[in-house]
Amino acid sequence: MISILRSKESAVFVLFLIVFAVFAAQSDRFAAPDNLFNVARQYSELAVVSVGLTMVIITGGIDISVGSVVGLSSILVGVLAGRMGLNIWLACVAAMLAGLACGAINGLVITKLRVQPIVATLAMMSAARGLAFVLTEARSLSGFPDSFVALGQAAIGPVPGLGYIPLSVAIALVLVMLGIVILRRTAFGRGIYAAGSSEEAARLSGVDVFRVKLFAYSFTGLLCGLGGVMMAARLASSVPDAGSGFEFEAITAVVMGGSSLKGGEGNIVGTIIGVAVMGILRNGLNLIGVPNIWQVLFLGVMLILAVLADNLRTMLRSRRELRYPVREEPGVRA
Amino acid sequence: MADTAARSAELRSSQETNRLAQLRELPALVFLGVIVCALWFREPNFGSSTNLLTTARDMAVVGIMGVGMTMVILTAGIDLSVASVLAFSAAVMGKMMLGGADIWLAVTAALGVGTACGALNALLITRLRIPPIIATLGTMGILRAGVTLYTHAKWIGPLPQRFYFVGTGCTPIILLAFVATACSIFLLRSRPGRYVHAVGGNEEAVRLSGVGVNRTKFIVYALNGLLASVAGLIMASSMSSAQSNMAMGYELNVIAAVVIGGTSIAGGQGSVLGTVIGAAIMAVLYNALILLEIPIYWHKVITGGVILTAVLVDKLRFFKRQ
Amino acid sequence: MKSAGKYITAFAVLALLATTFAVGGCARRVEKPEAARRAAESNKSGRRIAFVMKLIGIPYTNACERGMKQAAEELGIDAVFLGPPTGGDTIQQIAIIEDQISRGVDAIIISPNDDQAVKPVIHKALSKGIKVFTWDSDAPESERIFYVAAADDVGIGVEVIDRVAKDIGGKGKVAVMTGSPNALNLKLHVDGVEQGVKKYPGIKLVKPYIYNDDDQQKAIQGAITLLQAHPDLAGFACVNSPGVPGAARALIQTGKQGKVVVWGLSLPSENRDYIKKGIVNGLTLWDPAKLTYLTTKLVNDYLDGKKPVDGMEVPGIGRLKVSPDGIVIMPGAIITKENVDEFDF
Repeated sequence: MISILRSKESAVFVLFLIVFAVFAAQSDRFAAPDNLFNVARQYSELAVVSVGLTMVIITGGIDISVGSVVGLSSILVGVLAGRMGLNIWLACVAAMLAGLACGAINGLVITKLRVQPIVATLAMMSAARGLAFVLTEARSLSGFPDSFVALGQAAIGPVPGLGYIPLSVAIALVLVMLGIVILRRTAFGRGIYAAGSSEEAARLSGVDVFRVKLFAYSFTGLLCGLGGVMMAARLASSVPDAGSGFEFEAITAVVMGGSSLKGGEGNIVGTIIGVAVMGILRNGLNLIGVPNIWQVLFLGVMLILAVLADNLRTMLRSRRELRYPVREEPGVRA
Repeated sequence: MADTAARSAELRSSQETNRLAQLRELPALVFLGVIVCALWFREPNFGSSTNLLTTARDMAVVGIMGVGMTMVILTAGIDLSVASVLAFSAAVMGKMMLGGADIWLAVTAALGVGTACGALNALLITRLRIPPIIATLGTMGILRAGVTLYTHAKWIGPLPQRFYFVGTGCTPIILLAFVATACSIFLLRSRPGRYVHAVGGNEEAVRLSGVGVNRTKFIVYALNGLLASVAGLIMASSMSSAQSNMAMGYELNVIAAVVIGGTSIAGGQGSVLGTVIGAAIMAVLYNALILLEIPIYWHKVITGGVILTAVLVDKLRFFKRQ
Repeated sequence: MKSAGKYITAFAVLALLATTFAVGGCARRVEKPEAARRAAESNKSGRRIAFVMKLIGIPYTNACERGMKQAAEELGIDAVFLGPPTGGDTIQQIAIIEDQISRGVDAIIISPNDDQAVKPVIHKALSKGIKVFTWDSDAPESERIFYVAAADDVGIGVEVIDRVAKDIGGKGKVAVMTGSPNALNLKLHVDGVEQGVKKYPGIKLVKPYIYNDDDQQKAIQGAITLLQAHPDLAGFACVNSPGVPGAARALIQTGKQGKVVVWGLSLPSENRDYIKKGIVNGLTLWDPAKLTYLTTKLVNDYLDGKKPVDGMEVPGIGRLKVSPDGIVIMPGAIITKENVDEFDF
């Protein structure tokens, strides 16, 4: 029990409980399952993208192009299927591959050319968003076949006790679990933590740091591609500014969830709780009728509080360890 | 011991700045020259005084913020809140002006607010050990929300006529020149300025040698806030109003200008001059788009391309030296 | 000691942040009980409606909100005015609409950022028994019940270019200033300008059109650059509200005020000074407060079972035109130097 409280995710989980309780008290529609599933649907793309971003941040890097790659992927679905008449499923695959390519380019530029992650992904962010705008002349596209649109609104179930689970939420859950498995059980996962903690040490112990980082960025790109496809299905149209602001939201979720920007620490569970906090915050404020601008304020405050809480905990732990040294396996926990 | 370490850090950074000052900014300068010439040739209107002054104004807003951002990035930090600080300080000033306060009092208030916001960032980063990107991401949101609530999302204007001159004519570019020169001198010739380079290069070493790392960072972030509010003066004067959504998204333009100008995000290397050139490049590019009747949505792609090129050129030089 | 100092600062900041929370929460709670009490007192029917605008925080949308609040008070219903904090954000707007669906309101009235993207969410609302309408900008291919506008969207574009043409003598170069490329009403206004200009072979529309995304700085910059590219520019045709003051400021800054004609859709309150000084020739608009007031009343009537009828007279507004495919149009206004002081929106 105490070890749960000590774990990194505890701060954000407590935050989640507090925010949830506040809104549940303020609005009787908040805790209804169909409202909560709605929030989950709205945030499923962000959740998917955040899985990849968590891995990138654990390697000590960062990717601010995620939102733009989501937008580009969503536009590609529209352009290929809506405008050029390609089969919708082929268009989706193509869009995801495009996302993968963007991620791989990021990874290559960062590893082989040794460009700082923030700069490389800044360039990719402008390029991908720009390409999305150019392809569509800044207009949105639609005209998707009904089967695709239906998928965006589809639900699985009924699941006893919960009702219908939206398909996009199910997809997000599957990817979250995939991410957890990769980080916890595969060599790649261990390599990601190692590369983040100390590149030198990782290299010396045989980890191919370049391959690990390339994997992290490419996987993120692929997930962004998927996110773009999911968004196109949900909205039944491709919007050129899809995903704008995602990068900041995703980084906020990852950091709130306990990952350190220096690398070597973090896990996906925390990130997803962070995404959940952001989702219920926006939803709750909307339900109460508070102007949307307050969300931005609260998010900023919560972000800083989360980091502060983490700092305090680290400080307390190191003080305690000075007195009672504990042998603990560093960092490897997804 | 502390003294020699500090002195050697000084020596190293001043040597570096002297030796590299010539080289780092050269590619950016050449690029700027090329696009200006090409544009002037293709579109003679570019050279008209009004056009040049307007481009200069765009350049001044991004450039002044860029000077501050350069110093922050030199310490291996970053400040994402500059656009929100700009808007917030402009809003405070606007309300005071509309309330009948003396123009210069209002301007001073704006500058004070900007510096205070910068100081807040500094506190979060130095005392509370929050990573700069997170702290300033948080303050970016908080201040932007703050300005929207403070102005009740209404435009604050029109501002008094006597204030027009700040955002028009030669004033913006003069302000930029002044700010850039002053900060260059600070960075290259004063001791705290040289510490800025040193902190970015190797913070631990500097800390161990007894130099006040926290104090250096505090100066840099506070200055950045101040400069953001100066840029806000220009913008508010040009729009003759302060609005809650002004300068939305500008932080990325500023960072782009800094990167294009050759400053390294990892800290320790870079110059104000490079950033000014970077800001000029971005302003001229934007101007070119409209003069050449290129659809606006090409702007982002071109900006991304320029950033990437600048970074690659920089890397090329790095590899060549190896 | 160092670490004690750190603790103190940490707790001080935490306290500061907690106070922000508290103040924010209290501010919310103070407005909430006030508004809630007033609403509760007057909300005899328990009816709740929600307006979801393209964005919030510009004078046009503030005026809309005023009109909504006035109507809501008169009718005794609970109405909220929502929208994304920045312009053109389709995705956030859809999220807001979905949240209102969760809230279970009786009616949602939308001015969509993207008329295609809102079709699924409109369908979802209707399937849950929520009535959906559009106002200010339409989603004609969706299942919305009716659309309330203050002008034929295309017709008003024609009106703008007609006015510009008259003031420049039927020939010259004219620049077009609009907001975001996706909003249907703006697209239609621009279509109107393009259609209307065909009557004047001597007038050429300058490309590119300026997209200002409802940001005044972009409007000014774009206008100035066009003035540089075309020193003989004769007029500005602006179809969104930040465009007119943007063009006006651009003219002042380049010294061309009075030499270039400016007509557009904008609020008199934003442009009073410019109109009086002759920098802006005139505005074609409607009162957004009246438009939203009317919409609120029509929606309320519909929920009572009364549909809008062509030619019906509404007190304080005028005579409405209602087309068979559900478009309701209220009379607008032409605002010039002579009558600018009559309007206070």
